[in-house]
Amino acid sequence: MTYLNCAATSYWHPDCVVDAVTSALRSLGSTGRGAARGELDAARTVMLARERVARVLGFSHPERVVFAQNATMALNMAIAGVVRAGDHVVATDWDHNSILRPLHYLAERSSVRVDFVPADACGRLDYDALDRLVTPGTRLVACTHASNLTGNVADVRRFVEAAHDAGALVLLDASQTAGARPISMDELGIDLLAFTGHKALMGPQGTGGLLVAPGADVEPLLSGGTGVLSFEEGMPEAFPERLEAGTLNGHGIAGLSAAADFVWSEGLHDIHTHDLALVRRFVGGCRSIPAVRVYGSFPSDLALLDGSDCGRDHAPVVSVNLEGWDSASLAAALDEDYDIAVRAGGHCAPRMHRALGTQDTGAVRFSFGYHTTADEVDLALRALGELASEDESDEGDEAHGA
Amino acid sequence: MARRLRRRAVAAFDSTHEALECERCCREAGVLGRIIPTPTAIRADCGLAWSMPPEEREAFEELAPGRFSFAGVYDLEL
Repeated sequence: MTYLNCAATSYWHPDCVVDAVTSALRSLGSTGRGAARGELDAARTVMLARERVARVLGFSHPERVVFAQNATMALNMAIAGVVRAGDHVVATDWDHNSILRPLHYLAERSSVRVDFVPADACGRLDYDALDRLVTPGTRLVACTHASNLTGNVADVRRFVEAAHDAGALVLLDASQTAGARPISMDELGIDLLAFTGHKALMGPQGTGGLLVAPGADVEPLLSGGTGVLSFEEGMPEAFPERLEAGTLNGHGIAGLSAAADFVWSEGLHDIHTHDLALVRRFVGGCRSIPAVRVYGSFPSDLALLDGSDCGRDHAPVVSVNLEGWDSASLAAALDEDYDIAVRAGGHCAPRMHRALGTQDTGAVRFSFGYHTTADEVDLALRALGELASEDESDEGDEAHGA
Repeated sequence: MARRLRRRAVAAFDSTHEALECERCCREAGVLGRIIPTPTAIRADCGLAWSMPPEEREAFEELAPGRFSFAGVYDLEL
């Protein structure tokens, strides 16, 4: 199988990740639930994982790396932990439902006001609108680092500047970027960063977390056992336990730890360079197929897509439609005829689809990762070219589900 | 046969992470001791504590600032 759905999950995992999970299943007890060997080994494993994740994300406070089941849970922890009734929040059209739905919930139940930084038909964010919408009194500014639909990358510094000028916190959704490029939470001044462990980091599913900068006040979403201060009625004040109720996914976190060490050893800059080369190759190939429409913002000269400027930077995500094809039918044909895995539909990004005008058609997302090769990209391009020709040769026939 | 008690200096923590950070720092610095369950004489808890010979206490307290935080050190017979 040619797996080009890496924005959904990594599918391929380094051997060290598989080995770490296997070893953990055979040896670890429960973190923070005793001082016997198995429990201490588990706690030491989790501590090392916090340090490795913090290193990958440029964060100097590993004790404030809070583990969660996934980025969705981490984003919910941040939003529910920061936003209060009547607050004002600014989000963007790029955001995934893991941000949009918690905000809709709060808007309905708690009179929270939410404004969205709009994206244009090429998916570009309106930064002037960001500056207008974020005002003194805004509590939280949520920023998706890279769109899971177009792959375009946000100018995080502008979000941080606008938020901090207004006294608001910045929440960065790094679901599509953590492990795929260098990120420095410290240097950028990000207050809250949510990540998932199973995409570019190539760790196990069921891992992710929230990084909480010192000074960011986050109330616990969940309350429960922490292994410390058992007779206190409320959650502990100290991190990470403050936001970690219940038994951790120690086995998965062991795998995440190995994964974070793997991407660090491979080099985040090198991984980013590898990914950008695949994006350039794929988009360049798509441009030679007239029936393919590529969504998002790309420079006309793809050589400029080198990661040196965030306005032209890109995550390894490209969404397209093929003339004459319904997006779901195209994804099915790629699977059945070419054994290529992609993702069709709405991608849990309703506002972005509306901005791009694809809310009725959906789109087909090709997404690459560390393990993706140029040959696999070429296979996808050949498939698109052949399917485009197939449609042309079917003149007069019913189009493919379109 | 009754277990023989020894005098120990025991540091308590509010966080598992801090207890393990303490363990690592002490091992690197050669401060003797080990992680134990927090003794009920300190507080009824299920967390971790650092148990060390009393003569290590001074080195422990000199080592901690900027490296790890602890909730207190207690002289106990364990």
